[in-house]
Amino acid sequence: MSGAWLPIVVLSISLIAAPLIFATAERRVALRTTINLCAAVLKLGLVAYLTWQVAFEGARYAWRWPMAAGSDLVLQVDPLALLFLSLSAGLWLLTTIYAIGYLEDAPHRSRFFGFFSLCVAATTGIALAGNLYTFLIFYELLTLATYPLVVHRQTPEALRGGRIYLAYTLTGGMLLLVGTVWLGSAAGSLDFVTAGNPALASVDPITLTAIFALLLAGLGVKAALFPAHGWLPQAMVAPAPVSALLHAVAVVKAGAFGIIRVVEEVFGIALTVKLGLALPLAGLAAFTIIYGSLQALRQDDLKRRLAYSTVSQVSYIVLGAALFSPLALIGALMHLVHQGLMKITLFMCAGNIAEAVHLYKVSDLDGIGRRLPWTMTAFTVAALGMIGVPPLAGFVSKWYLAAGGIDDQNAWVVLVLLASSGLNALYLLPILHRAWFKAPTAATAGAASGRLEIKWTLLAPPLVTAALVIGVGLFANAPFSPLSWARLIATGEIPRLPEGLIR
Amino acid sequence: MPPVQGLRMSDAAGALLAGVDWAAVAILTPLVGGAAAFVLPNRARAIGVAASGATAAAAVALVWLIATGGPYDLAVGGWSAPLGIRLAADGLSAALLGMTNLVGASVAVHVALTGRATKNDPEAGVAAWGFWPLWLLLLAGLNALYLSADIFNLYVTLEMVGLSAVGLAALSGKADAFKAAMRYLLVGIIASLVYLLGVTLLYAQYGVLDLATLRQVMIPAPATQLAMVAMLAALAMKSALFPLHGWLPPAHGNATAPVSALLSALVVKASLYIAVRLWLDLFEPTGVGAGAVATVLGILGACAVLWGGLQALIAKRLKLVVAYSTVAQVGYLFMCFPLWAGGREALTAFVYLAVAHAFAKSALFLACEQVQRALGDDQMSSLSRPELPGAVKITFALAAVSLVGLPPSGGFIGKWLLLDSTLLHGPTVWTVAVLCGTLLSAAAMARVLARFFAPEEQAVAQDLVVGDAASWRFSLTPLLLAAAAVGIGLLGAWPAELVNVGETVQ
Amino acid sequence: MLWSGSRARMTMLFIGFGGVVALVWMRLGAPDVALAEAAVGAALTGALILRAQGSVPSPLPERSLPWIIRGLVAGLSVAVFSALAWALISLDWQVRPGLEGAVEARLPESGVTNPVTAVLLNFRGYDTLLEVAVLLIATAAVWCLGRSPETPRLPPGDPLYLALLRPLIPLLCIVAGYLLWLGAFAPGGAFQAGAVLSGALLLLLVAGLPRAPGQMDTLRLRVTIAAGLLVFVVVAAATAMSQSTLLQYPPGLAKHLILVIEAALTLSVAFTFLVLFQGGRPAPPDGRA
Repeated sequence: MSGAWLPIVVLSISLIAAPLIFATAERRVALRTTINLCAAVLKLGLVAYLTWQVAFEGARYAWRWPMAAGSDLVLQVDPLALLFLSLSAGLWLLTTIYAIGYLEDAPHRSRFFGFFSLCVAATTGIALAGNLYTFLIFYELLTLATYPLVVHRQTPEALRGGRIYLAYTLTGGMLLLVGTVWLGSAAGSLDFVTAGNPALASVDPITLTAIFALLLAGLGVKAALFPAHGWLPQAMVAPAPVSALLHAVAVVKAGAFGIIRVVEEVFGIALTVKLGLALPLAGLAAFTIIYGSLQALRQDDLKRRLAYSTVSQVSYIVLGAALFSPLALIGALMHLVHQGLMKITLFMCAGNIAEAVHLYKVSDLDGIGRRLPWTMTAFTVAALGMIGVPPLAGFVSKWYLAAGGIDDQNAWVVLVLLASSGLNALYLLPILHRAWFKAPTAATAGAASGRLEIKWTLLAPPLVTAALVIGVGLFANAPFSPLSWARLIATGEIPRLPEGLIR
Repeated sequence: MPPVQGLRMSDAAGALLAGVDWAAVAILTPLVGGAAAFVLPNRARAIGVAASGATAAAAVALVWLIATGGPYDLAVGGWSAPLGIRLAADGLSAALLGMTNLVGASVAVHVALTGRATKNDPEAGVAAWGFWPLWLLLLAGLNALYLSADIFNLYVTLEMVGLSAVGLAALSGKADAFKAAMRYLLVGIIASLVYLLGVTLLYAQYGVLDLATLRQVMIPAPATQLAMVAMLAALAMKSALFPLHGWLPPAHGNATAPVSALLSALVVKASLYIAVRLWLDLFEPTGVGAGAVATVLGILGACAVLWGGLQALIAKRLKLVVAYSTVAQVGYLFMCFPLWAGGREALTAFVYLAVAHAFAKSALFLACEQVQRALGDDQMSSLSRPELPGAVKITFALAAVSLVGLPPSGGFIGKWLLLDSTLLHGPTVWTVAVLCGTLLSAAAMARVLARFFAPEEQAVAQDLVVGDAASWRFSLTPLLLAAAAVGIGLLGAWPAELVNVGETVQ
Repeated sequence: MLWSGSRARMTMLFIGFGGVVALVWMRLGAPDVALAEAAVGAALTGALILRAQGSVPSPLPERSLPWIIRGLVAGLSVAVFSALAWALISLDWQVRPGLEGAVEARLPESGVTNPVTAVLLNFRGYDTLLEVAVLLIATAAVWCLGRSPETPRLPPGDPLYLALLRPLIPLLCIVAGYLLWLGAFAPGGAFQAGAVLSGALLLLLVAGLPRAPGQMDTLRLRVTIAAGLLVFVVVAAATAMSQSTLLQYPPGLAKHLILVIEAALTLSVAFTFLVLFQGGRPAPPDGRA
C-alpha cells in the first residue's frame, strides 16, 4: 500500500527527537526548545494530514516488521488510532510549551524533555499498534519512559512515589505479557480486528475468561481501576506538566485505550457479553467511579483531589466500553478526549497556582480568583465540564454514556452517572466557591502586578484547552469533533445504531 | 532444511566464502594468536586485537554459510567417525559461535582501548601479557567447543575453556580474586573429571565417541544413565546451576571487569551448550534421559531464577548484583530443559536468552569498570554521586531492559518464547516461576537505576582518574553492547530461522 | 565437595577421584591408552596449577562446617562411589566394543606402526592439538598467579652432584631422543620423551647452575614453550589449505610430519613441565621485578 511508511514516520518524529534532546547540552535552551517545538508541530501537522486522508479518502496505512516471537510489529492508522493519536499530538504541543515555561532554569532539563519525548513516542506507538503484541511493546516503553519523569525532582518522596509507580506498572505489565502470550498461543492471532478477532471463536470459554482477566488486570493498573489505583495519587510528586501528561494523555489513557482495544477489537463486545464478562467489568468501573469520587472528597491537597478525580473519570471510559451499545461506546471514546482536555486544564491550573503563590491545599485557596483571574477562569470551565454542566465537554459524553446504559437495558448506569456527577460537584464546587467568593488571605492577596498574572507560556496552554472544552461541547456535531469521530468508530465496532434515543 | 530467507548474497561472493574452511580458521587463528601473544608480550595487544577481529570475521562467515547453506560437517584428518573426530555445526552452534565471537571481539577492543589509556595504572588495567594469550586460547577453546561433535573432544575443549578462565579470573592479582580463582579451579577440575567419568562409562559400553554414531547405538541401560547423570551434573556445576553456583559470584565479582564480562557472558554458556547438545542429540532421542531428569534440571533452574534474583536484590556491591543476575539467568536457560519435549520454541527461547544475556551482561560488567573508576568503589550506596558519567547510566538502563526481558530487547523475545512454551507444555507453576523471577530481576535492576535519580550527594574529592572514566574509550564498547542486547529483539525473524537450521547434528 | 574448607582435604579428594578415573582407563584396550594419556594429560595440568597454588600466599581459609553438611557430602560421596563401582562391575568387559578394529584396519595409512601414536598424532590428532594448547594455557595461567618462588637448590658447585650430572644429562637426552624416535612403532613418543627431558632440565635447575635453562623469562624460553603448539598449528593450517581438510596429512608425508610435530612437542613438553614445576613466572633476564 502506498504510504505504508507514514505510521513509522509519525512514530519516529518523537522517537528521534528524544536522543537529540538528550544529547543537547543543559544550557542550550534555544536549541532544545527549537527541537521540541519543531517535533511537536511537525507531528501535529502529519496527524492532521492523516486524519484528512482517513476521513475523506478512506485511506488506511499499515507498516509491518517481522519479529522472532509472537507476531509482527504492526503500526497502522485507523480511525480509533487517530482519535488517540490526535489527542496525544495536540496535547503534547501544549504541554511542551507549558513545561518549557514551568521548568525555566530548573536542573536536568535535557533529561526531562528527552524522556518527555520518549513518553510521547510510546503513546504514539500505543495509538498506532495494530495488534496486541505491538501494543505491549509500547505499553512497557511507556512505563520505562515515565519513571524518570515521576522521580524528576529526585527528592526522597519522589523516589518513593516512583518506586510505587514502578511496582504497580511492572507487575501490571507482567500480567499483560502473560495474557498476551497465552492469547497468542491459544488463538494464533493477536490482531486488532473491527468488532473482534474471529480467531478467538475457536478458543474454549474458560481459557478466554482467564486471558481476559489477565489482560484487564494488566491494563487496569495503568487505567487506575480499583483496586490497582494506588499508584496514581503517589505519582503526584512529579512536576505539574508530568502530572498533566500522565493524567490526560499518557499513562491512564494508555490503560483505558488498551481496554477499549481489547474489549472491542480483540474479544469484540458481543463475545465479551456472551462470556459474561461485560457486566462484571461495567460493575467494577461503576464502583471505581463512585469510590474515586468519594476519595476525592476527602483530600485537601489540590493535586491529590484531582488525582482521585482521575481515578473516577477514567472509569467512565471503561464503563462505556463494557456496555453493549454503540451509544455507550461513543460516550467512552468521546470521554477519552474530553476527559483529557478537562483534566489537563485542571492540572496546568493547579501547577500555575503552585508556581505563582506556592499554595497546594484546597483550604488555602480563598480568594485566589482575584490573584489569578485567567487561570481560575480556565479552572472553572474545566471543573464545570467535569461536573457535566451543559453545554460543556463532560455533559456530552455523560449524556451518551447514560443513553448507552438505557440502550443496553442497564438503567443503573444512569444512577451511577448521576451520583458521580453529584459527587463531582461536591468536591469541585467548593474550590470554585473559595476561589471566587471568599475573601483573599495574606497569601492570595497581592494583586497581579504587570500585564499578566503569570508568564504566557504557563497561561496560554490552559486557556487553549479550556476553550476546547467549551468548543467540543458546543460544536459537538461539527465534522472532526470528537463526537463525529467517535460515531464513525462506534458504528464500525457495533453496527447497529438504535433509533429514538439520539438520532 | 531450506536456506534461511532474507540472507541471499551474490553467487560469486557465496562461492568465494564457501571455498575456505572458516571453522578451521576460527579455531586456528586464535591458537596462533595466543601462542604469538605469549611469545611476544610487548606486541600482545596488537596481536590480540588482530586475532580477535580475524576470528570474529571467520566466525561470521561460517555463521553466514550455515544460515544460507545448511549445517557444517567435517571429518578431521579425513578419518570418518567412529575412528576420527568430527566437527559439526548446526543452527544452535552457529548462533552461539556468532555470539561468542562478536562479544569477545568487542571486549577485546575495549581492553585495547582502555589499556592504552591506563598505562600507568597497573591496578586497574588488565595485565596485558597475561590477558591476551589466555583470552585468545580461551576463544580458541570456545570455538572448538561449539564446533565439536565428539564427546571426548568436548572434554578437551572444556579443559581449555576451564583452565584459561581460571587464569583470567586470577589476573587482577588481588587476594580475593586469587582465592575465588582457586575455588573456581577446583570446581572446574572436579567437574571435568566427573564429565570425563561419564565419557569413560559411555566409551566402555559402546566403544565410540562420536555423537551421531553414539546416538545410533545407545540404549537406556543403567550404566548409560549413570554416565548421563555424571555428565549433566558436571556441566551443571560448570554452569553454576543452583545449588552448585557458590563459586560464581566471588569469581565473577572479583575478577577485573573485562574478564568478568567474558566469564559471565561466554564461559558459562559453553558448558551449558554441551549439556543442551548432549540432551538434544543423545540422551533425549535415545530414551536414556527420562522426562524426570529434565524436570529436575528445570526445577533447579527455577530455584536459581528465584535465588539469584533474591541475592541480586540484596547485594551491596554493584558487581555482585550483576554476578547474581548471571545465576538467575542461567536458571532461565536450564528451565528450557523440560520444555524441549514440546517443540522448537524452547530452543529458540534458549538461544535468545543466552545471546541477549551475553551482550547485556558484558555491557554491564564493562560499565561496572567505569563506575569503579569514576567513584573509586562499586558500593550500591555510592551510585548516586554526580561524578558518574551519563553514558554509564544509559548503558545500565539498556542492559537492564534486556536482562529483565522488557520489549523490544532480545531478552524480551526470549522471555516471550519461554512463556509461550511454559504455557503450552509446562505446569502453571513454571509460568509463575518465570514471572516471579522477572519481577525479582526487575526489582534488582530498578534498585540500581533508581540510584541514578537519588538525591545528589556532594562530589567526593578523588585522586582517581576521573577524567579517564568519562572518556569515550571507556563508554563506547559497553554502550554498543547494551544497544545490541536491545537491538537483537528487532532483528526480525531470521535468527529464529537460523536456530532451526539442521534439527540435529547428523 | 565444594565446601570442604581445607586445601589439603580438597587435594586429597581430587587425587582420590583422579585415581578412580585412572583405574577405569586401566581396564581399557590398547588404542584407548592414547585417549587415557590425553585425558590424564589434561587433568594433570590442572593438578600442576593446584601445586603452583601451594607456593603462593593466601590459601582458602580453614573453616569447619556443620555436621549436617559434612554428613551430606559424605553420604553423597559414598553414593557416587558405590554407583560407580556397581557400574564397573555390571559392565561386560569381555565383549566390549572398541576402536581396536578400526585402528588396526587403518593403521597402515597412518604413517606409523604404533597404534597409540597413530591415534594421538593422526586419527585423533586434533585432540592432541588442543591438548597442547591446554599445556600453554596452564603455563600462562601459572605465570599469571605470580612470580616463581625460590626453588630449593643444592649449594652451587657441589662436586659430587656435578660429577653425577656430567654423564647423566647426556644420557637422559639420548633416552629422550630414543623415546621420541621409538614412538613411531613402539610405546613411546613426545610426552614420554618430554617427561624424561624435563627430568634432565630439573636436575640442572636444582644444581644451582647460574646458566641452567628455564630460570629466566627470556624470548628463547617462551618460544620453546610455544613451539609445539605453533608447529602443530602450522601443519594443521597447511593441511587445511593444501588438502582442504584440517589435519589430513598428504599421502607419504604423514610419517615425517608426525616426527616434526613430535620433536617440537618434546621440547615444549619438557620446558612446560619445567616452568610448571617452578610454580610461577620466572624473573626477566635483567632482574627487574
